[in-house]
Parts: sequence; structure tokens; C-alpha cells
Amino acid sequence: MGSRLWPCTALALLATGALGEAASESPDAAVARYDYLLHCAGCHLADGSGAPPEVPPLRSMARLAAMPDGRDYLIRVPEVAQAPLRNARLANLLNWALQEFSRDASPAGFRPLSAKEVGDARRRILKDPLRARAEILKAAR
Amino acid sequence: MKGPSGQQGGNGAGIAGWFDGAAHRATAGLARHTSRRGFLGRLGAILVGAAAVPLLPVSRAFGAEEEGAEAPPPEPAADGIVEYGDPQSCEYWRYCALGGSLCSCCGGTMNSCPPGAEPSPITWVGTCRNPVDDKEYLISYNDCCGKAYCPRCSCHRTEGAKPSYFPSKSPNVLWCFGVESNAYHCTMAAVIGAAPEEAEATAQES
Ligand code: HEC
Repeated sequence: MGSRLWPCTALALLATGALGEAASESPDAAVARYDYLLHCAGCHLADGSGAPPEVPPLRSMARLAAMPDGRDYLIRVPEVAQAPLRNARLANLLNWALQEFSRDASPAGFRPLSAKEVGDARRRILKDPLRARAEILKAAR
Repeated sequence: MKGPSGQQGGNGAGIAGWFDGAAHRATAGLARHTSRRGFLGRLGAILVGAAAVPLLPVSRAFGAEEEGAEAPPPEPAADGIVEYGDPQSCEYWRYCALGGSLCSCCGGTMNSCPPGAEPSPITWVGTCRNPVDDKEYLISYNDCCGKAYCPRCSCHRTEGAKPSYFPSKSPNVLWCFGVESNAYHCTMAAVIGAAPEEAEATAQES
């Protein structure tokens, strides 16, 4: 694909996006978006679509969060657990990402992740996240 | 991306993907938070920049033939930020956390790969301060892959704020995966957003 075409497209889209979305966003959401772009988007891309097969998309977050051990799983994934963010900032980021990227709406009754929950779970970094994920899905079936 | 300084980043295949739907969604939010003060500051910078440009010492190595090419005019980037400087020089503000070779002096630009090279989907993101408006911006360092290393414009800087990366995913790994060829050619530096003011108040621990 001709890479030289991209910048124009990119500029046009960026401009449209910036002008089109005039609605205001809460400071928490703005910080979450910033933290996401800085710490996560390099791998998961700005829209959470990832770069399969190396990097998974983030659209399953809400679905996973509704499963037993799924909430903790989202925090214990190594890239999340080790992000250089305080617990409250990381919780804020994850809660934002859950809404922003999940394909299915958050399950009814979803409780946002708390800073304490994040602080507890992130100490237990997953050694084998892919396997943990498979087990969570299996248990939920 | 290679180099001790990068952050994670890379991407390019992304760049299309990155800038398309997705990115603009994510960055639009940041743009919204750019304050009015910021806007006026930038407007001022256009004028100041316009006046200052002819005085800037810039690299003439690559643009000398064209009259007027020696001083890049203040360039409104994708999100309207204003800046000046020489994108072909390692000193340029956007390269503060870059480690690699500069696409803008290898036949590409800060947002596009040189002909024949392909952007990698994975990027390394860092922050750099734009001297024109003194604001922190998020910079996505996107690697261009599929061609031999462009040795002309090596640049390794480490002063930018960058997230720490994890031993298992060292920044020294080549980010050229997800593309046809893993050869690393050079790195772009696209602005993908600005830091909201609230971000510094609750700064990260390291
Ligand atoms: C260095 C690249 C990289 C970065 C940076 C990164 N991730 Fe990931 N992420 C991955 C990979 C790879 C996986 C797959 C699991 C694994 O191998 O660790 C993953 C898995 C995940 C998952 C599990 C998704 C699922 O469906 O199972 C979530 C959630 C996630 N990451 C969120 C984040 C968040 C939030 C951040 C920023 C704090 C982040 N990631 C930063 C590469 C990255």
C-alpha cells in the first residue's frame, strides 16, 4: 500500500475527529485516555484493535470482567500489572478502557474496579496470561 | 524500535489503522482538552515562529537546492499544533525519546515511510515538550520496515518521559513485526495527542 497516501488521510481524519467531537469529557476520562495512549496504545493501538496475533484486541475486556477470575485477570496481565501508574490511575484507565473498547456493553451491574482491588491483584502478575485466559473462558462455559 | 531511548512504539501498519478511526477517536479527546490558553499561545507561536524562522540555523544538508527550503515554516501538525525546527535534525523536539534513524531524512517524513518501506503496526509512544507552546505532547514513534537500515540519520535521545518497558518486551527489540519483512529502516515521529493538565497532578510513580 502506498505509504505516501497516508498522511493526507491521517490529517483529514484527525481534523474531522477533533472538530467533530466537541462534547466534553470528564477530567478522569481525559487522563485515562492520555495514560492509555502513552502506556498501552503502542501495542494495542489507539482504538484498542491490537495487532493480532502478537497483541490481542481489547474488545473482550467487559466480557472477561463478568467471568469468575476475569476481573483479576485484566489487572494481572503482565503489561497491565507492571504499568508505571499508581493503583488509582491504573483503575481509572482500566475502567475507561472497559467502556471504550468493549464490543458488548458492560454487563449489567458491573462495578468499576477500585484502586484497592487493582493494588491487590497487580501484585500477582500472571506468568502465563494466555493459559490463564483459556482457563477463565473454559470455567465460564 | 531500537535504542535505549524509545518507548514502545512503533507502528505503522498501522499508521493507517492508527490514524484512521481509532486514533482519531483517542486523540480527539485529548485535543478537546487543549485549553483555550493553549490555542491562543499557539496562535502567538505562529507569529513568533514566522518571524524567527529565517534566523534559525538549520541543516542544509538535504534541502539546499530549493530556495527557501532551508527554514521549515511553522508546521501545524495533525492536531493543529504549531512548531518549528528541522525535522531532519536529531535535535528536533519530537525526537526526544527516539532511538533509531530518522525517516524524515531517509526519504520519508515524520508521518510517512520512505518509498518501499512499510510501517509496523506496533509503536513506541513517548512524550516530548514542544518548545513553541511549552506543552507536553504524546509522540508515536513508528518504525518503517522492509528495507535495510538507513544509516544516514541515526539519532538516539533519552530525555523524553517514557513508560518503562518490561524485561520481556524490551525496547531493544525490533518493533518490525506484523509486517512482511522484519528489516528495520527508520522511525517516524507522529504527534498523537497532548497531555491533559490533570495528568501531571496525579503523576505516575516509577
Ligand atoms: C509491549 C506491548 C504491550 C503493551 C505496552 C501493553 N500490552 Fe496489553 N497485552 C499485550 C500482549 C502481548 C497481551 C497478550 C498477553 C500477554 O502475552 O501478556 C496483552 C494482553 C492484554 C489484555 C488481555 C486481553 C484479553 O482479551 O485477554 C489486556 C486487558 C491488556 N493487555 C491491557 C493493556 C493495558 C491497559 C495496557 C496499558 C497499561 C497494556 N495492555 C499495555 C501487549 C501489550
